[in-house]
Amino acid sequence: MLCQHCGVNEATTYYKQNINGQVSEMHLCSACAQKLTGGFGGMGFSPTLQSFWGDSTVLQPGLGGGRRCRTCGMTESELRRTARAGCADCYQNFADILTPYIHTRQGSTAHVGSAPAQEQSDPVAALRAKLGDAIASEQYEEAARLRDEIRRLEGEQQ
Amino acid sequence: MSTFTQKGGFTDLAATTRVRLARNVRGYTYRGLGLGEYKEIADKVWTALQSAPAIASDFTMTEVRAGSREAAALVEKHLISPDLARKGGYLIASTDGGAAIMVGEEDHIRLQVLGTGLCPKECMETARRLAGLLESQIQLDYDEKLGYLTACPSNLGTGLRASVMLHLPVLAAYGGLPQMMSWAGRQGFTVRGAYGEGSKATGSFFQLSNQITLGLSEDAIIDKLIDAATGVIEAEKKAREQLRTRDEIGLSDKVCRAAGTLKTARCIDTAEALECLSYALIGLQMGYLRGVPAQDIMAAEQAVRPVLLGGTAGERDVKRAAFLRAVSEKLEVLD
Repeated sequence: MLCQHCGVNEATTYYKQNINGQVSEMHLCSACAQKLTGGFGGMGFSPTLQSFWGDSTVLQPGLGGGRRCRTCGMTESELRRTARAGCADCYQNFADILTPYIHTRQGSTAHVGSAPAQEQSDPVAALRAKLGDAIASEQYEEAARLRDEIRRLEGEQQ
Repeated sequence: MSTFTQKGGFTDLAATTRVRLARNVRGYTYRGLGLGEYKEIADKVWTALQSAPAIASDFTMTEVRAGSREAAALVEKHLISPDLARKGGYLIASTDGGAAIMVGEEDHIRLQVLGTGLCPKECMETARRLAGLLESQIQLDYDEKLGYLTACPSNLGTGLRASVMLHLPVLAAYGGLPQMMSWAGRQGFTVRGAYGEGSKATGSFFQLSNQITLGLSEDAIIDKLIDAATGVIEAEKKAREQLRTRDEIGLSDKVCRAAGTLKTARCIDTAEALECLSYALIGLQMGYLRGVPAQDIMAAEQAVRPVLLGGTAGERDVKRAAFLRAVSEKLEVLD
């Protein structure tokens, strides 16, 4: 299928948006997808990201609304346009926008890796991280052992 | 002096491995910072490194001046990103070039460890040690649920981007790349040009790196990268053997002509040099050539780039040819 915007290149990206209940769909080549989304950073624009902002305003970044991060001044429309947080607090202040996006992009919203030493106060959290890895890598015996260990520690804590 | 550059296997197909951790310092925003604030952050990093006497003297700190020739040279050495070269900031790097900490990129701190061949585990171990040192001295943005907080949500969690630079000329030339890229994508990996995001692949070098940074531990990401890289390496080797079966004369002719050019040229531009080096690597791996370690050819691929050679275009072509004659002096064609 040819790109519905330029009509020249092969369409490689499927895009869907919902503005005020009006759903529209387009098949675009990568150049037009890039152009129409305002150069969406280095995020790429893959079919799996279709409508990832909910009622997507990616094609119209100006419609983002007037919310603003109190810490860094990042506006909602700027966040949507750049797909970048302006500070640590943006993750709290725009959680309703960022959480679904993070889930779509990363397939998870729960960190299971290492933590700064000063944050490592909970041994159960570390075991939960290992449990996640064991399940992901289908090591079910190890997962069962970790689950028992977590239950034991939780029992001790209570 | 400590050695930060790691060494791994598969040196005939895997040029380098890079592990990069993104970190942000608590109390600073991720945008609108000036050089003064980046200097404050760089000073904190520097002070943290100085707290470890065993490695303190192995690092130097330099200002990266936006758009300067020096910055461009650092990009070609893979010590800083094109983004930092454009914006300016600071680089704190080990004298052997194996460990580099960029300050002023999209995230305040980008810590990277480089190695030759396929060595993600070794690079990760070094990066973990250095990150631990920084974290013991500097309060970082960290969230129990989201992990290390980064400007771009695609780096959240571990902040880890682990990559291997692979030499894939036959997959690239004979249409095997789209299939391989699609396979890598299903494993959670992406394939880019040799100089990272947005760059074009040159000399048939491609960077394989993880896309997912959240929901997997650092060790799980590294294990998956090793699996994906070995999968791609096997695909390239298979494609080479198929090519040998199909057109051995054509293949060996190109390899031997490339060896001849490397050994005898008096003037050579970057594109031709990269193509000849690429064929020389194929020849060494497939047994048409011998006498020079593949790592030396891999290293030459970087050294022949224009910014690193300096001078006018004509002067560079002569310098490049002389350099390549020296590198390939012991290169022998096997009958």
